[in-house]
Amino acid sequence: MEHVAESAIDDVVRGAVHFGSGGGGDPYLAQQLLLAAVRQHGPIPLVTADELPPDALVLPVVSGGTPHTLVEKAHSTVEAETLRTAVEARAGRKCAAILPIQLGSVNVAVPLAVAAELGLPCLDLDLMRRTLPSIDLTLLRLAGFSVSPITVVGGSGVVAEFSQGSGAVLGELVRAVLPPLGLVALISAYRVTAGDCARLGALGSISECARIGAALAEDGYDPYLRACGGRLVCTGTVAEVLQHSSDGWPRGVVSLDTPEGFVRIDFQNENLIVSREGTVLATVPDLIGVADADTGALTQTIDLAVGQEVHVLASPVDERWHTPEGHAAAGPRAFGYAVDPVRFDGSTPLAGAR
Amino acid sequence: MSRLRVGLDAVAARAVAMDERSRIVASCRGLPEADSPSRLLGALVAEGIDAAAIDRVVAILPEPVPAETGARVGVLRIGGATALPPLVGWPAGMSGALAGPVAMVRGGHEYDGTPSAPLDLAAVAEFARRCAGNVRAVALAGVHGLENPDHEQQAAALLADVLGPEIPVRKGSETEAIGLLERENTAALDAALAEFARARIAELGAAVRKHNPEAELYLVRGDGTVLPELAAQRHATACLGAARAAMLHGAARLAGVAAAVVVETTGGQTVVGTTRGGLLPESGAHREFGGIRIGARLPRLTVLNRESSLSSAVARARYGYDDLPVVLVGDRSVPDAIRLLDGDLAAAVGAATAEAAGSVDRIFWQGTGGREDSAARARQLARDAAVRAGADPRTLRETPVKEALMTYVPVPAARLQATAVGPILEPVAP
Repeated sequence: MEHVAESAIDDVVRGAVHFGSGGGGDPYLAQQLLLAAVRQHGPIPLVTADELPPDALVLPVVSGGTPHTLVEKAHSTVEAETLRTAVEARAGRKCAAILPIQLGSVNVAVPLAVAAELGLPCLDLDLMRRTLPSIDLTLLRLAGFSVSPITVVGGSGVVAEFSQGSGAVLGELVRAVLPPLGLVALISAYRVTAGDCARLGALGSISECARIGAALAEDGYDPYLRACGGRLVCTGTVAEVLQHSSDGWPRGVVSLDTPEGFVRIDFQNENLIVSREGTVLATVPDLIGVADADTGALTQTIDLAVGQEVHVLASPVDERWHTPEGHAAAGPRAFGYAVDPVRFDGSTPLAGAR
Repeated sequence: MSRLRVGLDAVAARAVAMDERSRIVASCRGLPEADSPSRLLGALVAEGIDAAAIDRVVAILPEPVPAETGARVGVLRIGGATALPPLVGWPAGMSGALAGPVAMVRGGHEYDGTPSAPLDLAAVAEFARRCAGNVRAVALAGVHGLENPDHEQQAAALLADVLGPEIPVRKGSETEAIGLLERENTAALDAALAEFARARIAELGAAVRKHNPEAELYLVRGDGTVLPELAAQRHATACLGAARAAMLHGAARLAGVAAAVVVETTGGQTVVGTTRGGLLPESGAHREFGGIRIGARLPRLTVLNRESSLSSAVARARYGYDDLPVVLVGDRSVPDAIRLLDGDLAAAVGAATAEAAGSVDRIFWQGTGGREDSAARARQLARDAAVRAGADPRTLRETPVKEALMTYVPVPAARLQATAVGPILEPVAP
């Protein structure tokens, strides 16, 4: 894929929802954002890391905030310019391309829109290969990079910078500055060159969204499951959606009434664990999606309605998350659940490594 | 002599008059698309009912055709996202036909209601001047306009000053829906359809009052509850889907049950829906008009073709309420179901017996007073909205408050949804 044109937007966004694993924000907003960017600036060029000079600085971009406020206010072009200026001033040189930090509906659309607004190409890769709730949970960090420096640009013209420190604390600090910024901000993090990206791999993120999105648009979920390599876990009716907040993240539980018994999905920002009557069927870091049985569309878990008929679909994530370090950062225990990771197909992740 | 309520289904050209005990005292069947709503009302009166006894007429009007029925509108965005200008995702045919001047000005609010920036009144005035003589109506929407409608109100007042009372102004905060684009799109379409809705509803209102000067006119909205005449003129898009919603409620009424799974078969298509507690369970999906997403939500319906099996669709429609009776409209048969003889009158009956409802769906700051306090505020807002829609405050029923916490950034705020519904306030006996 060489550029994101208007005709590709629906597929790209539909596929990006897949990587949201039940979170990642409203795809309608994402679709409209991309449409606006492409209509105003033309097709957005995509580049691979090896098309750029290895020492070229790239601009990692993620939109931070809660989905409920993102549907009220996306970023403005001024904020995109402020972010670039701040990062370039600190690095002392120009950015050559935009680098999406994560994959998810909003966070595929925002980096692409920022690329269009700034007249830069967008790298066809990303740092997470899915949606995760904290900026420090990236493959780059697993590879030993520091998450700092972090730059946060709020709608009111506020710029916050965190120049050094450990990942988890910085992730927390970024979330801490978001409420006074109105719960939405444009964020950059990591010091990354095109050469770093080339070494990281994770190629073809936006193209992958387009491919999976095209499969999602076909009838039935078989084309989608073939495209993402996943499986149908179960089909059932939503019996209950509950959320409670006791230790920071809101913890949620969806109960599904299925012919094989009750299935439970534990979620916080994304779906984390799917289990049937005590047996864990799949967990984070693999992807757990919920699709409306009538429309076939992947839904945001928080928007599920009691009585809705849904398919639960699990699919593999980038293999690098299935390492001891990957599990420590983004396995179920990292989210506070005393459960060992289980892959999308029900197998034990580290079996091969042992 | 019993007072009468009339249900007018101008889509299928059916009308019923019902007495205070919800018995049909007269009905008439006209010609769809040929008989105007007022002619249908006249034909019903000619069946021999006492026109002076009609207290209330509740109507379902044919839906407007996008682009053909709309007029040019100006659209003003207050605050937020310049990366996402108004109308950007509209199909070209719609924006080509309807879009006048568009402007984005500084202002708007945060999720907790505090202003993001002062409202740029000079820019609003400039927008108003661009609109003058150029548009038939104006729509405006502000970021977090539900959480704080202040900037929308200020801008609307200024626009009215410049453009005069003849130019309708629709505000995003008149729609109870989370999402700036959804409220903005609704306001823009309501503005575009304002003239059309006013003309049609005023014509019917005049016909109603010719029969009884004291009679009230309501329109059915997309959830099968009512909007008073003037509010319906302001919110044409609120009435989209009225015919089907009224049919679902009316079928249960005709069957003599309070809640039901309704199976309607027309042509080659079967639709399965549920009415319970005077409400239609929501699907969570947004309604669209001419390919544009609006704030209203679609009821949960299953659409089947003639060949597909009904049992799983009925089981889903019943979910959680296993003893709901099944009511049949049309010629499809289901075991142990109630078949309606006058199924074609269901929507008219649903209109005549419709209740009034109000909803809340917005973000509540829970920092002071906590969750209990915000839930109480949400319920009060829903009750107030129901009363504004015509409900009797003494007989309102409420849904439980649905709470969705903020993900990704833990903060003491939540999206709360609640609905209050109940019978329409009866006029005081003379």
